Formats: sequence, structure tokens, C-alpha cells
Amino acid sequence: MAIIKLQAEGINLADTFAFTGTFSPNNTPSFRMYSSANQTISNSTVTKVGFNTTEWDTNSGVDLTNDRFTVPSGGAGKYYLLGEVLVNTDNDFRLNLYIYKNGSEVRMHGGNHQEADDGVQINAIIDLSVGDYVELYCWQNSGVNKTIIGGTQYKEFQGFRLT
Amino acid sequence: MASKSNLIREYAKANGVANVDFTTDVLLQDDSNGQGAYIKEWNIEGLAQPTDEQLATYETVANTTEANASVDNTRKQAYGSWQDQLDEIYHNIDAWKTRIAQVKADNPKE
Repeated sequence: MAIIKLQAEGINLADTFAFTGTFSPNNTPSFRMYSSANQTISNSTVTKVGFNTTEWDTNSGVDLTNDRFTVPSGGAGKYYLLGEVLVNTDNDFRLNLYIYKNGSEVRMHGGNHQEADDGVQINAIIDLSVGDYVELYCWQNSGVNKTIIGGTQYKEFQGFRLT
Repeated sequence: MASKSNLIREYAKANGVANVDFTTDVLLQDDSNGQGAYIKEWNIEGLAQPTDEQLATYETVANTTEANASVDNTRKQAYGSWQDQLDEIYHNIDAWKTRIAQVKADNPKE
């Protein structure tokens, strides 16, 4: 239905709308980083999760030296972020993930780790300005050091701008 | 080398604080920059934040604590889930006792 007709007649909810164009959302900047390396998380210590590979990084916001994503010029907005880690040992302990914004915790999600290969994931929508940076941190309280497992599928941090 | 959390736990214990909550009392952080863990927040009233030198004096006892925690973890895995253990107890409590005793004997604490 033409826009002119919509403007003249209003929207009739009984009409059928056949969309034949192309929907092209622009959810950039967008990034995904992961690590193939195992990492030790000391007992009861909030530890930054390290990454060594960028799968994509549309606007060059990923900084693997500091394991963070920095919002590039023109990229301010609300971001959907996802982080994930996995520990491959049994035992009942708490495993938490945190998203840090500019060095301070802004989101936390955790769970009880009971089975081998239990992972924990954090999802968040966060308002970010140009120059803001986000990082992923992990914490566990097993009483001993624990290893989070490196791998393309389960030691990752990714996100994209929603609006 | 003992982890900072266990060094702090031993320091607190030696100074009359039996339990340390590492989500509220003391926040430890490691920025993975090669500098190691540091105390980000110290919220134990009446107990001063220790220096690294003070914490180092608890290295031996903290190492023992850590080794025993590792043994606990190994034992837990060998014990199995409490559901399976209840089933074992129901069927043959003496066999369960024997198995648990063997796990303890195979994984002694310091």
C-alpha cells in the first residue's frame, strides 16, 4: 500500500500489506571475540576474561590487548551484549559473570555450577556513549582455582547496537 | 603460592574474623594484566586492610587450606550426587559406608 494512500485514508487494520522491498536494519557497530586459550580463575577473585581472536568487528571497536570493546565514533546507543564461559569440572560452587562498563560492574548473572561442562551466560542491554568500553569478568567460589575452557563456542563476548 | 582469597581468609581468622564473604566484605579483582589479584574493596569493620607483607606471613597455612579444599573437591566428585548416595544407602548402607571411607582414605587431607 502506497504511503500516499495511507496518509489519505489512514490505516485500515483489515487491509493486507504485501511488503516487497528490502528490510535493511543497521545494527552496527557489531563485534564478536572469543578465546581458544584456557584461563585460570582464582578462588573468590573477580577476574577479567581474556580473548585472543576477533571473529568480526564492523567498526574497529575490539581491543584484544585489553580484552574490551570500545564504542567507536558515531556508535553511541543501546547495545545488546552477550558473554559466556564454561568450566569443565564437577562440584557445587557459584560461577558468576559480570559486564563492566568503564571499569565498573554494571550487570551480573550467576548460577550454581554442578555438572562438568556447565556454563554460565550473561545477556544485557546497556546504554553506551562514544568512548565507553565494556569488558567481561568472571568469579567463582569453589575454594580452589578453576579453569574456564578456551574454545570458539564457549569463551566469548559479543554484541551489537540495537538503536 | 596460595591465592589472595585464602591468604585474606587466614589473616582474618588469625585476627578474630571467622568468615569472610568475598562478595561483600572483601572484593578481589584481577584485571588479567599480569599484576595479579588486588583488593578492590575492604569492608570488614574493625579489621585493617592488610599489606602484601602481612598476607605473605600466612602463606604456609593458606597453602594447607587450599590443598585441603582441593581434596574436598576431589572427594565430592568421587562421592557422587546425594541422590545416588541415598539410593546406595537404601540398598546397602554398609557398602556405602565402606565406599565413602575408601574415598576418604584415597584422598587424605593435610
